[in-house]
Amino acid sequence: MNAKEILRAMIDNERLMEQYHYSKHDVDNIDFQPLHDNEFLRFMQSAVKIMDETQEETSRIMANRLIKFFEENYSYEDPEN
Amino acid sequence: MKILKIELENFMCYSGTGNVIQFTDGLNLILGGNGYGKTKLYDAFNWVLFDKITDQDGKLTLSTQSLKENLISKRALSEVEDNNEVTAVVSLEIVNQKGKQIILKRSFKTMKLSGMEFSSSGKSVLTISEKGDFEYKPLALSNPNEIDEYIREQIIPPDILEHLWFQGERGIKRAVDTSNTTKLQQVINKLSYIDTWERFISAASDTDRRTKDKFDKAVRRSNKNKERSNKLQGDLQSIQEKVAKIEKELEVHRLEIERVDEQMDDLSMSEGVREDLRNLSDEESKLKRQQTETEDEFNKILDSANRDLFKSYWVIHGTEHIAKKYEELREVYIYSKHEDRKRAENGLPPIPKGNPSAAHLNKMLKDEHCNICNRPAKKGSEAYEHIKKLLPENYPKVEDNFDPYHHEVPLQNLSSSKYRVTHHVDTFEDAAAAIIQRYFILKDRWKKLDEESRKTEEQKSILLSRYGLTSVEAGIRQGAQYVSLSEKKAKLSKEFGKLENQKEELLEEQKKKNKDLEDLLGDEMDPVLSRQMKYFESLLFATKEAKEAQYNKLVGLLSEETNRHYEAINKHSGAFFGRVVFRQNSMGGYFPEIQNENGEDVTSGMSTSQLLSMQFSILFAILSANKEYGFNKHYPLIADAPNSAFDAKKKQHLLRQIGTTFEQSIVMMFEYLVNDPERANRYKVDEQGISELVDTMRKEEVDVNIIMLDVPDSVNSRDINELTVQIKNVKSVWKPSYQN
Repeated sequence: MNAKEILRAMIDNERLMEQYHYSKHDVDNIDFQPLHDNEFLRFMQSAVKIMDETQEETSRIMANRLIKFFEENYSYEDPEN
Repeated sequence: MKILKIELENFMCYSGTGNVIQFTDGLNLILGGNGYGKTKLYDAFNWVLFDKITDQDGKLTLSTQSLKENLISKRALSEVEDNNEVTAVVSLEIVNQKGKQIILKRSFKTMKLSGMEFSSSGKSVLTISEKGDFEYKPLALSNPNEIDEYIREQIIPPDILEHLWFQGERGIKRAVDTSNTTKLQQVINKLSYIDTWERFISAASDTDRRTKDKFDKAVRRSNKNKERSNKLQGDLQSIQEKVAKIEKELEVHRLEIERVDEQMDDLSMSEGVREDLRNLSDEESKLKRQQTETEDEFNKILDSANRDLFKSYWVIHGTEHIAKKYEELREVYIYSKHEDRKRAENGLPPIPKGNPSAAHLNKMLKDEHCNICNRPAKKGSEAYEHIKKLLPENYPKVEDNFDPYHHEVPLQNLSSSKYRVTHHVDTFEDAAAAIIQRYFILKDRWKKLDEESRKTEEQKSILLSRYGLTSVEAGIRQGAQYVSLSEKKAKLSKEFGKLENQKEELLEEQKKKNKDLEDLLGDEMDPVLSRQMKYFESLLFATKEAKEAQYNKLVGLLSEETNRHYEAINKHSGAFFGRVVFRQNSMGGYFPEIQNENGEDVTSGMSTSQLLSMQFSILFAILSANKEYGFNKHYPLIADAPNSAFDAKKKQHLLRQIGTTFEQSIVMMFEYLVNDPERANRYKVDEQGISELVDTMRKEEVDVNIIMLDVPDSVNSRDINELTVQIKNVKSVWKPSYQN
């Protein structure tokens, strides 16, 4: 399973679609580039990329990378809220 | 990874140099009789990579350190001079997934001291060379960890290998243990990269937990609506504690259910089997009782027949002679009586017949008349004295009313006795006929009971061997244990479900209170932190859900692929083979069972070869179902004697499935060989069988490379000090049937 399929499998979820306002069309056409307009999908694009890149590392290192990424890139207010 | 070539020098039964096998894509079939080096070749693949060979259970446990000189050809050891060295070398040439050509060369050296005494370090040396533009260059890998890593990264991961390289039927059972749901799940996870999802879930849980902790700390620092927020936080703390407690309990329950599941798997039988065992036991007792009854009856009629025969023997014994004598005497008597009457009518005295009896002599003396010569024999005369001499001594004087014909009555009695004897004989004959008839009925009944008993015995031994039981009683006891475990599991599962519901309710409450807290604190809370908590919570949720969906999808694919292989191996046989269904247990694990068209589990009634074909099918399916990772495309299958329980046709179909599933496969087997009439105790290739196989593989566009392992005529194959195996490429012996 490649990273794109992992990403698609993770966002292909009705509850998340409803909560973050995206559609099946977005799921079918998602890739890592370009970054999506939807904030949550953008987060997922980056998160899955990090998880895929750190597959061989421990889950602790994977988690550190995710948190660091969030802190570095999301230090602004959620435009959707 | 593909194997290009293996070269063996003085390795086990491959003595000397020049023992080379070139491998091709497709199916590489290595044919050899027992003791002709198939397993040693399998050992060579493992030894060169891992410095170990497999033990009896198929585990890679026998190291060079423990094997030492056993790795070296006995012939080479016996031929080398004292104080000289002898070396076993295995060289494996491969091309890895990245297209890099690599040679792994492992050697083990020993010094012969004298006779069969040797000295060695017990360590082998491995050199790894990679092909550059023109030639192979050795790599500087000295550290064992570096070597292990190189093999894992560049050649084959050892944990995958145990599912791709296996030996015998036990090997296939080790490669995919279908009797244990946990182990099967582990194999599916490992070979399908579900493990990757588990790592993702673990990382997402970590981020979620750490973000929540951070959020809690921020809440505690906030001063807004202090009293109310303190209350909410207190509630949340209490909920968290309750959830943690429930999670602990859930984990305990999960482990306990897993343990019970494993125990149930170890007992390896369902309630149906227990019922079968019970029925078998009842049937066995019933048959034994009936057999005892039949035996008793049989003994009774034999006793009775013996008694009758004994009695009748003594009754009849000699009567034939008596009857014959009686008839003769009677005839003489009738004639004499008739003659005497005639004489009496003419006034003549009766003539005694034969030697005159004492009674007649007495009568003659009384009448003083010789009835024989019909002359007077006056008392004192010569004739009188002559008659007197004929009379036995001390013979009593007969009565005056002596009737020479009085024996008519005894004769009549004798006649009637004779009749009774004849009647008795007839009666006895009738009784004997009835006894014989009864005897055959009983014999027939015994035969049927014996037949049923044999069938029961057969069923019993099949069940006992399938479930590794020592007796039916042990099975029933295990069955009882199984039922008790099953009840325990049901109870645990119920509690597990209850706890999960409680946890769900608490989490819902927690969510609500968190929302209340967020609303209460409003702009006091860092919006970035709130979003981080929300996103990481969603990431965890997305990962868990995706893993579940992927797993279910994989099981669907697995089921489809398994049945494709299973049908292809079994369809030709004409015997019922059913369909493999993966059933989910209470903890989410899957176990395979064979179902009939009504969806009933019929696994326990299947033959060993069908169960084995199911295991092969599951393994092939696991290896190939996940197209992305497709181990079948990336690594070769190596199987030593995997299919001895199969008939010839099924073996051919299994090879077809191997050939069509794996890009490259190496299968060592004893099949496709026949006795060579021109060489005593040697084999030759079964050309017809091979041609059929090659035709089958050609239809599937699979190449076949056939190698035969042989022992030279001059060598005694049983003498290990002499034994050496020759490698022969026998591809030229067959030609496709369309050329015939």
